Amino acid sequence: MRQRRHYILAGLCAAYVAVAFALPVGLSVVRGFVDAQGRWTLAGLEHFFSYPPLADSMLNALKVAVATTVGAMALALPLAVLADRYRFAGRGVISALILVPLILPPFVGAVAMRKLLALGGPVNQAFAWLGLGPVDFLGGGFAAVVILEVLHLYPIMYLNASAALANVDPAMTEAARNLGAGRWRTFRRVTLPLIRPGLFAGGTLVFVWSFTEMGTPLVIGYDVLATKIYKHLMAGGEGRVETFAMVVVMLVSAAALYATGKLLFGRGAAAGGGRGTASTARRVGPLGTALIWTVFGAVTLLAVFPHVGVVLWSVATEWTGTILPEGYTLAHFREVFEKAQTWNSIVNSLRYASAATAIDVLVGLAIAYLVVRTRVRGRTLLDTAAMLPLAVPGLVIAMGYVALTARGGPLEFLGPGKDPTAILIIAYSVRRLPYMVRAVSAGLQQTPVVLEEAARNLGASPLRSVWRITVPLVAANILAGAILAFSFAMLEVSDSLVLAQTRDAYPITKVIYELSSQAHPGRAAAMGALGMALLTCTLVVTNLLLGKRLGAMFRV
Amino acid sequence: MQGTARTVLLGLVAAGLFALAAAGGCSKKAEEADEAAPLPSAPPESPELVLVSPHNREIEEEFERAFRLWHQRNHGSDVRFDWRDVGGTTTCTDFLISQYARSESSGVDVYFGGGAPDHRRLAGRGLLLPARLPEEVLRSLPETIGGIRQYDPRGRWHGAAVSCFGIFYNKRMLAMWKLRAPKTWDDLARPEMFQRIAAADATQSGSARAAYEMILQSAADWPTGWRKLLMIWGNCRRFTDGASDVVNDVTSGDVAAGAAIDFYAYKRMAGGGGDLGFAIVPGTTAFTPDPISLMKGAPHETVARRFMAFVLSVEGQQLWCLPPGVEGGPARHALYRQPIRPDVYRDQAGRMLDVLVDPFEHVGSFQYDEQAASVRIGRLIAPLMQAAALDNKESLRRAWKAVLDAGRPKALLGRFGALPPDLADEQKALATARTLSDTAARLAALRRWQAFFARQYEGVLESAGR
Repeated sequence: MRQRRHYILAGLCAAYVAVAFALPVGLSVVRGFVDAQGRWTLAGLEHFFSYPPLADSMLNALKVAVATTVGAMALALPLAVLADRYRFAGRGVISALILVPLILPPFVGAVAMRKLLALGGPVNQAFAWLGLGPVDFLGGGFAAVVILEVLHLYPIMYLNASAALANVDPAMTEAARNLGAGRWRTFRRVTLPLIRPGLFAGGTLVFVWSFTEMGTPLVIGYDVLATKIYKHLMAGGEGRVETFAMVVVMLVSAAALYATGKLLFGRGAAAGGGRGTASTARRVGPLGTALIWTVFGAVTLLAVFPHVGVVLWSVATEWTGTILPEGYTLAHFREVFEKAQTWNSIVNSLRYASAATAIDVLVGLAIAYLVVRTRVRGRTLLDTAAMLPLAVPGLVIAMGYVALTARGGPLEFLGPGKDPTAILIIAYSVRRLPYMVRAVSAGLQQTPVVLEEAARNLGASPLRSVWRITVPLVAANILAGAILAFSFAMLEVSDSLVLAQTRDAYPITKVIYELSSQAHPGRAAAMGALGMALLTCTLVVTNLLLGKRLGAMFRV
Repeated sequence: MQGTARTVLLGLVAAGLFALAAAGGCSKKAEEADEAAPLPSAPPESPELVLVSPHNREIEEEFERAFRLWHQRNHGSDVRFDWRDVGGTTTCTDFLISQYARSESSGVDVYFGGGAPDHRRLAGRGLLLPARLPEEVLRSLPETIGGIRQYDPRGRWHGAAVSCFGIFYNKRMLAMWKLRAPKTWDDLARPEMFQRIAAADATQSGSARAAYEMILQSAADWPTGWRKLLMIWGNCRRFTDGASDVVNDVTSGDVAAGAAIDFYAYKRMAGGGGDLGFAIVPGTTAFTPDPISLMKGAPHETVARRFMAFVLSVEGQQLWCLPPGVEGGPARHALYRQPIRPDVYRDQAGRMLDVLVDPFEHVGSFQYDEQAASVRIGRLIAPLMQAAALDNKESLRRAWKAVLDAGRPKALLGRFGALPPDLADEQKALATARTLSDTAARLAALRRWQAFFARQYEGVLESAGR
């Protein structure tokens, strides 16, 4: 019976999510309540609520999240409106370039930022040369953190805003204009309310991400809950109950924020052009085009200076104390391919990422199909569960896997000390699952179900009709999801650091981490630059595949 | 391009990428050394040696190469090296301890590197075997340097190299900010250094804790030492995550100076430019050992003992300090480490890498209290720094600035550097430290101290009239 088949599939998917995600996270949570002697205790939570610096750090994280979300919206919305309203030369290129800030490789990007923004570093030296005073970027300030995070995350808001704007029925705006409303009034009273759900759905994601973001505050030296957790973990607090109590607090808050956002803004069709609205974009002349290019260019340039730093370091011979490198060379790139350490890590990452993506395609397709096409009870729960990995800090999941494969336990053979391949693949796959589910869901929602039903009417089995009718129709979405999942898995951080402990299992990010702390981060930068190239290609390809619908993947 | 055709094309591209990836039978390269002087693999019938080490690849490679040649010459066969790279010192030690949880052997022969505290920890658990070094080697090792023991009295670990802390500085930034080059720890506490230095987070870095202990012991007594430390932290622009980050921040010019381990500093100076300098603080510098030990249940005991004897012999020790390519020196990499044998300093004077010093000349009359150091480094310094500096960053900075602006009057300074009652003198502090192994006690102390320092800094601000 159709129902039973669906329930079996749902059961399998739920089992996978339970084992790959809920279990490790659950183990992490449990450790927040069990002390070193194995006794149940609330001491960890008590400490959190009675130690002001921790409560402060959580407040800081909330402040950063609010400011970043507002800032990202303020930056992205005008840009999205510009790109939506006007047709100009190079529009496609611009929309692809907008995504570049998303692809900063971990560690070496932070290293590049610290070196570039140092008081005596190239940026301040350039300022000095221009006669301006030095700017204290790294002074541990709230402003610096927010600015950098806005520049990092605004592309997500942009994608959502574009998708939402594309969905607005021009008949509405035309009616408003017909009734005499000016452009601004129309925008305020008609367009804005129509795109608000989409904006806020993306905004929730940005909010949760910036709330749990660890990298940027760590580099700047600003205390938020995530950095506190990280430092406690690195201080050998692995067994310490107060560390995991903090993890519990972060988990609960992030999940609550995510759920609230989803409840308020997550309903309705995925933002994405499916209604075939005619474009009302106006052509602009060369002056207008130049203006638009300047605006987009300025923002993008500002957002990519760390990337520029990475690229420059990857080709620099020496770069200390001057505005630009003292000399250039391709030796670092050559070494990346020649030395065993770096080459093997690339091979490792390729293996882990492709296996993880394969799992994601299967599970993601199944979950998306169940959620969109069937009436299985509990499918919303399944959908939320599949999306939760986005809201949970990477370190939490990683530490959960450590607990899962603890020494002396039954699963030790999967653990970091032995052969972590299996656990790395599972960890990677569960963290990219949300992208696949979203991508395929969006596609399914735009594909009329009648075609499938027609095939069933003509005698095709359910599986056959899915395979021959549905899958080809959502092929673009599946492909886009798979490509994005693959690329982000290649540059995955937390699991790679924590779970790959033996040299021959190191993925790319762990090698980058090791190489980043050397005097000359040339090879780390070269690997980072290669990673950036990979992600740029994939973002361009997925942009081509999904166009405006790409926004559907980055929302709750 | 038509939608379908485009999708197909992009699909082919993606499939191509996947095929490449899944092929991953892009076979991995065997770990080999650089092209110029490759370390060929030893024949499979050679005896094996399994080592755990936090040392970097360069050190491992040089010692492997030299020992294999030595073993060939003296025992007629090559040796197969199996380096287990599990990470830094703490990870290595934890890993070894865990290996013995269910077995009498860890499968590892030698633990090469890491600090004395780690080897002591393993020795305390009975996981190290007495090395029983050849008489002539043992006689050549110094028992102590400046009061610090360089090998275990029961022979379970021996320092293979020594290192010290000093002040790493950036001459360009010093010039830009018109600062004198810092020569002592007190110099780091001077008013003009405000926001110009960085220090490592003691909760994250073992070597930072050791450095702070050094600063504490460089003062006349515990309260004075604490005040000096707090003044230095007050001057810090940032507390970095690791000891190497201090070196990075000085190099990149974000700060002018900071405390650093000698070999981090030397490597950085060798790598890049005349801008950087390193000062060993005269008279109060301690040289601590970097040990090597034989693990209990070592599967290849004979070869392991030979390796240990080699590392501590003149031939092995010269690898640390000679430039690459010279006779007796390493083949490719300069290691910038200080040997432990006094005779090497005597005989190789003038041939060693420029920056290295002679610890036996430097040490002076400074006597390091190892007992107290061990308790403080292990238990006290991290939570105390957390309460006084890390979790009170802004108020510490403001209070210190107020003290500086007021001209550092004695009364205010006294107020600023006062300690909580349970840490008021050295004995009380050590006693309190010993109680901190209990979780509840540790958290309670943290809360108490953080509140204490927060109030204290407020009080200082009020007194200074802000």
